[in-house]
This record gives sequence, structure tokens and C-alpha cells, in this order.
Amino acid sequence: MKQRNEQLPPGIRGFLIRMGQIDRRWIYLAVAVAIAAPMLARLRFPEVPGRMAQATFDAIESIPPGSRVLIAYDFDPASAAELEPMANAVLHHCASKGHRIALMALWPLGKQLADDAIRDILLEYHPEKVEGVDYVQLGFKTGNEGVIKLMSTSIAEAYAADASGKPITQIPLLEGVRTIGDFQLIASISAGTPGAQQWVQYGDSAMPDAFKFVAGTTGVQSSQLLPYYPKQMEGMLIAIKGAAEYEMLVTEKYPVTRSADRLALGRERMGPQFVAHLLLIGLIVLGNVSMLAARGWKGAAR
Amino acid sequence: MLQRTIPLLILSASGLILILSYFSPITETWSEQVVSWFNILAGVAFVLGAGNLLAVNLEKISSKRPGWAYSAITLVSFGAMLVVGLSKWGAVPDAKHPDVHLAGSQDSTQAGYGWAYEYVLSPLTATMFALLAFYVASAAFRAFRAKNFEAILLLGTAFIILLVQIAAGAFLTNWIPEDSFFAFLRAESLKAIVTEVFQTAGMRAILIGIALGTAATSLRLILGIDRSALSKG
Amino acid sequence: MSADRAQQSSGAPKSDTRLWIALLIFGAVGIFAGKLWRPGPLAEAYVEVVTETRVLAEVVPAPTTQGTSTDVQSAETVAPTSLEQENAPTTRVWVELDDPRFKSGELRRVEGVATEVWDERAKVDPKKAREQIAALESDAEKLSAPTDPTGLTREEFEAREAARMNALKVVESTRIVASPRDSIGIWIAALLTLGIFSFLVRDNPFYKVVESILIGVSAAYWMLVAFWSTLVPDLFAKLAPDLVRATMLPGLAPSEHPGKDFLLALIPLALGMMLLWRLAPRGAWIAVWPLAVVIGTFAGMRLTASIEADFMAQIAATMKPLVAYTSSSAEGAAAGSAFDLGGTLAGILGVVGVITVLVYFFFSLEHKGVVGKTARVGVWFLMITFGAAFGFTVMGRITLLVGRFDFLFNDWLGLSP
Repeated sequence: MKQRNEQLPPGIRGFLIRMGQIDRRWIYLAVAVAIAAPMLARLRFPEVPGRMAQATFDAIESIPPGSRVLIAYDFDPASAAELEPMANAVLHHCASKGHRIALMALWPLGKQLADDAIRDILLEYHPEKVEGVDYVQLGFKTGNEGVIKLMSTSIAEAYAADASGKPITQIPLLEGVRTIGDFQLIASISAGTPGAQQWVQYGDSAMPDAFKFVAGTTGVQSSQLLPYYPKQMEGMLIAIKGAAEYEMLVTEKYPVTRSADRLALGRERMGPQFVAHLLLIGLIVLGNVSMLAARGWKGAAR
Repeated sequence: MLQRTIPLLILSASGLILILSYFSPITETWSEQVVSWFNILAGVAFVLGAGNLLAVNLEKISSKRPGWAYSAITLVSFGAMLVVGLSKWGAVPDAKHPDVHLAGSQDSTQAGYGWAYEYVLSPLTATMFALLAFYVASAAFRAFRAKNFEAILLLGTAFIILLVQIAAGAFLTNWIPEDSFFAFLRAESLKAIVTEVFQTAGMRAILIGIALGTAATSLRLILGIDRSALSKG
Repeated sequence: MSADRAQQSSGAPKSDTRLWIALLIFGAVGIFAGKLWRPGPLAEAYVEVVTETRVLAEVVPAPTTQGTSTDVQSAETVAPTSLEQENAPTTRVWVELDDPRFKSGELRRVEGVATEVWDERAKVDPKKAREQIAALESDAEKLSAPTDPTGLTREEFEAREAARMNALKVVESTRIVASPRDSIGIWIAALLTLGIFSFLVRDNPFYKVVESILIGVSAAYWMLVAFWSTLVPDLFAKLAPDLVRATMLPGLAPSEHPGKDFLLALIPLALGMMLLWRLAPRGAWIAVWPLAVVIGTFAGMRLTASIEADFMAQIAATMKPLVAYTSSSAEGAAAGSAFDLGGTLAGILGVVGVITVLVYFFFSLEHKGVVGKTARVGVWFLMITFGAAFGFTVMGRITLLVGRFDFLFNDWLGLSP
């Protein structure tokens, strides 16, 4: 053990050991630079759509135009940076395909995000869409999975009126809609509990064949949802990478002529990911090299 | 009786109604009723949470405990937000009923409520979570050490995922022909193998374990075997 | 070593100063370079202002003899009839001043009720707003010049003039203006954002103030959301429908059985008040009743849901054919599809993974011998699972930070092109 260590000049060894104990704030600074620099330089990379993004795209594409789609905004501003790009793309995709869209939220601040999406995406790219006919904002209800449970037997019990207070019996889009089974597709953009997992547990299992279910999810929650794919969940968009891939599929088929940057957010945010991931890999390597230098090669490999 | 037996009966009854409704549509309307009460109580819980916060901070201020000034700031911002949101200050009138002030919409930044969401609440919660990016980097540096075989597996997988998620993965492995025996080493295949085979299997087992645990706990609660949940309230 | 580190982070003013200086230089250079590169003001915000006007009108009852003819003459003949029906209930609606139904006689203004006028301000993207403002200005300039009459007949000239005046009216009524209240908002949001980031250097009063604001505002906000979205429409509207309709939800539909609704709503009202009793110093047991409903409902819901979605469905998903072929469809099999080594391996690994991890979780058996070895393999699967989860977590966390930088760089500093 000692013999090997002596091969390292003491100066380098000492430096490596000191690097392992560096003040964490230098690491913070490195992270900040690794993210800021590519953002300012507008670093972009090409994306190749993966299997799950393609499956999500196909699920929305495969139902006939005019189908009823429910998009649940199950997240809040804390994860909006990650989930808003995919929520935007899903909304634009459904609207372009001519689906009739109901929006709702299981998270208290999700309704605000859905409102923003109606303004910035739906009406920006599809100004001809009419509230109540082409889309409806149901808003937020308290109760977490209780809301899904209630909607699986009676939507009117859960949502007597839409977010603006209009009784749902007067909303043409929801005519003949009794339960979530009357939707052809449900998409949950989910940051945790309640979210996609609850939609599978309380919605999809209550009526497995009634609707297609797709989810957009944060990187953190993705592993929790993996077992549900592809049987209980037709498609799944994982983290900003999934958003970038899906965004590409959607804008290729349904390009937009104005404010295109709102449907490029996912790809835009992959630039800083590139440098940040490399930094993290470097940090892990450095941490291990430093450990090896301090302990001796043999001791560490035991 | 009032303190122990009746709550136990309520718990079992509501649980059983929900379970029964799964098997028979006859009890469906009952379960709808119970779930709608559950949802309303969840709404009341938000009020309760706010009340608790108020109580804790008021206590801190009245006993002048260290940092009581921060409690005062919390209370002031709580009060301001509440007044603005309950009075719908600056709300845009409802076009069909402009004379009913409280029917207006307060979601745009024109109203105090929407403004506070856009410029106070939303940036603050988002930034709180953004801090985690720094911590995750620092943790990776300090804690990810290849000390034994298991740790090497953990580290190696994290490495692969970090690489294949960015363009570097494709760049490093694109030279492998797609129809060769080693095609599984290409970035997209590696990612699929790690997530859809290994990660899915691991998470599936965890999920099965949790499901069994949940089912057992639920049954113990509904059958009144586990009474700890109702012991103190 | 840990003592070392503690010393370094808490009592090393030198390292601190260096960091602050590094941060300041980084920030200043960044802003300066950005401003040189793409000049523009900080925290730019624009809104499109639309003035809405509504007047109260009542629906003129259609005459029984003349059907639903809506021309002006028939409306005039109707007038006396509707005067006779003064006492009959009339439908009143708020409509725009130039609603066509006024002309057709279907509607009549209600006298003595003030006109409601308000502005609606919709945020416009700064870049787009600047373009639109420029376009509007040039349009207004073009349209302000009177039509050149040479070579036009009188009718043509008048038609052109009328169209010009109309277009000018539209241009003049479109108001895209800078919005100081939103600019101030962006400044405040930026300061709050920096306040939270300051915690990275060390805990400090600025951070603590910002944190206190967050706690207060979010508690109030959540309560407000619950109040307006659930308590008002689902509880109060059933207890006092007329009051709620008059004050908060004018669109509330009348219930088919108000009495039953009222009685049933008393239960959650009582339970809710009992739950709030927790705040009282005495009688904690009172809050146990509503808690029993919550826990019972939750347990009942979860029992069936987790057995179905997380137990049975997962076991079913694990039971896949262990030997896979390149095409799983019937035609493919008929055409003689080849043995798929990858698919077969994936299938086997999937089953092995689930079983070994479950064995690892089975703590009733001592992890020795075959069980111990199997559990060890389970641990390997778990390690790979957690490693991958870590990789995805990094991606998620980094994105959140990108989102905040996006705000600081673009919304606040205006560095976007």
C-alpha cells in the first residue's frame, strides 16, 4: 500500500487531498458558472426522440380529432422549470390535433400555471379556440386522490362548476361526460403526490380500458413511475430531456409561426444540462481521486 | 365513548364504505358522499394549517423568543396576503356580472392576489427548490465514493445516466454500428437497459412491497387493530 | 476531517471575502457585458389594456302573436305589451354598450343603473410589445393622412374614408403600454430570488427575512385557494345558496333538491369546525372525529387502489415470456421471427430483479445461505436503481436552477435577444 502511494509525488498527493476538502461554496460557484455560461452562450444540441417520448406522442396522435382530453396540472412553480415545457407541448399538441381539452389541477398552485398556459400557449397559437367548446378550465379542488376517486364515479360531484363558476351542465365540452372514463386521454403533468401515480391508482385502475393515460414527470419522480410504463401508462416524458424530445416531435408535425421560443424551452434548457452534467461527472471523479490519494490505492479498492 | 369508540366506528364505517363501493355499485353514492366530505375536510385542513402557523408565530412574538422579529414578518405577510385575497383587491370584474365584486377574477397580475403569486410566491418557491441543484452537486462530490462493489454499481449507473442524458453520450457511442452485437452499448440502448430493465425491476419490487404494507396498514386501521392514529388526535 | 471542514465553513472570513468578491465580479461583469451586447432597460414589462364597458339590460319579452320577429318595428309594437307585464319577472343581463340586440329590440337598458367600466390588462412579452408598439405607431401615421380622392368616385372615396376611420379607431383603441406595477414586481421577485441564493454563502438576515415572507404568503395563499376553490362552491354554496349567489358566485345553478343539499352539507360543516377545534387549547378529542373520517376514507381508498395498481398489476407486468422473439405480433411469429437475445435477457433480468429485491425486503428470514446470496443480488439491483434515480434527480435539480437563471437573465436583466 505504501509503496504505491510513494509513486505519487507528495506535492500532488497533498493537492489532491486538499481538493477533497475544498469549501463547498467553490462547488456552488462552479455549478452557477456551469449553468450560466451555456445559457448566455445559447448552447444548443440536437435531440433524438427516445422511445417513451415517441410513445407519448403516438398516444395523443392516435385518438381521433375532437376527442376529449383531460390535462391535469399536478405541479407548482417549484417544478415549473422542469414541467412547464412538456405541459406546453402537450397542450399545443392536443389543440393542434383538434382535441377538446379540459384542464384541471390537483396542486393548489397548478391552476395558475394552467391559466398561464391557456393564455401563452392555447390562445397564442390557436386564437380560434372557444372557451367551453374547445377548452375548459376546471381549476383546483382540495382532496388530492379524493378528487380523482370522485371523478372516477361522477365528475359533477367533484366539479360542480368550472373555475370561473359556470355550472358544468352549461359547458358544451362536458356534455355527456359523466366520469373520467368519458375522456379518451388523460395526461398528468406531475411533480409528486398527488400526481401521475395517483391517476394510475385511482383513475386508470378503476377503468383500465376507458382512456389512454400519459404522464410528464420530474426527474426525481420518474423512477417511482417507471413500473407503470407501458401497461398502465401509455407514454411518459421524463424530465427536461423528455420534454425536449417530445417538443421536437410536436413542433416538427405542428410548427408554429410566432413565439416559437415557448415551444423550444426544453431544448433550450438542455444546453446548460450538458455542461452541468460534465461538471458533476468531474466532481465525482475528483472526489474519488482525492479519496484514493488520501487512503492509498489498495485501501480504497478493498 | 365519545373520545374512543365513536371515532373508531366512524373510521371503520368510512373505510368500509369505500371498500364496498369498489365491489358493488350500490354503495357508490355513499362513497361519493364520504369522499366529497373528505375533500372538503382537506380544504379545511389548509385553514387549520394557516391557523397553526398563526398560533406558533404569535406565541413566539409574545414571549419575545429569539428571532421573533422574523415571526412578525411572517405574520404581516400572512395577514396582507389574506386581506388581499379575501377582498379580491383589484380583481377584474366578471363580464357577465360586473356588479358582483367578489365574482371577479384575481388571477392576473392586475389583482393583488395574482401579483403576489407572480412576483412573490412563485419566484420564492421556485428558488427554494433551485437551491437543491447546488446541494446535489456538493453531495455528489462528498458522498459518491467508490468504497465497495455496491458503491461502484451505484456510481457507475449514475455515471452512465449522467452521460447518456446529454449529447455527450451519443457523441461517444455513435461509432458503434446499430446492427452489431455491441449495439447495446450505444447511448440510447444503455439508457433503455438501465431504466427499463434494472430500474424498473428494482422499483417494481419496491412498489409491490409498499403496496403490501399499505394494504396491511389500511386493514389494521379499518378493523380497529391499530388505534394509534386516533389515540391523541 | 469533519472538524476541519466545520472550521473552514464557519470561521474562515478570508475564504468568505474571496467568495463575495468572486461573486460580485462575476455578476458585475456579466451584467455589464450583457448590457453592452444587447442594450435595453431592466425589468421591462408591458400590458395590453382593453377597456370593457357593460350596461344592465333587461330582455324584452317576445310578443305572443308575432313570433320571434326581431326587427325594429315589431319591437316598437311590443313596447306597450311589455309595459303591462311590468310586474312579471324579467331577465336582466349585463351586455356591451353596442350589443346588436338593443337595435333589434330584444334588449332594453335598465335606467338608473350605472354603467360599469373597467380596464383589463394582459401581459405582453416585452420583445413582442416593442414590435407591436412600433407597428401601431406606423399604422397610425399612415392612417392619419386623409384618402387621396384623385381618380376615385364619390362612393369609393367615402367607402375608403370610412374604412380608414374604422382602422384608425382600432389602432387608437389598442393600447400597449409599459406597466410599472409589473416592472416593480419583477424587481421584487429578483431581489427575493437573490435573497434565497444568499443562503448558499451563509445563513444571513436577508435570507431569513425572505424565508419568513415565503412562509407567511404561502400559508395564506394555500388557505385562499382552498377557500375560493372548494369551501365556497362545495360547502357554503350548499348551505346558503342565495347568499353565495348574490355575493360571490352569481352563476351558481339552482339545486334540484336544496333541502337535501343543505342537510348533507351540515355534516362536513360540523366536521370542519370540529377539525378547527384543534387550535383550541382544550378538547383535543373533538378533532379526532373528523380525523377518523379522513383516515378511514384514505385507508379505504388506498387499500383497493394499491392492491390493484401496485400489487396485482405489477405482478402481472413481471410475468412476461422469458424467451423473446424479435416480433411479438402474430404475423411476425408466423413469418418465422428470430430469437431475440436482448429481449430474452431483459425478460429474465426483470424477473430476477423483482424476486431478488423482494427477498432482500423479506426481513422475517435471516439473510444467510441461499437467501443471503439472493438478497445480495437484490442489493445490486437496488444500487443500480438508486444510481439511475440519482442521475435523473441531478437533471431535475439542474433544470430548476436553469429556470431561475432564466428569470434573472431574461425577465430581469433583459439579456434575451
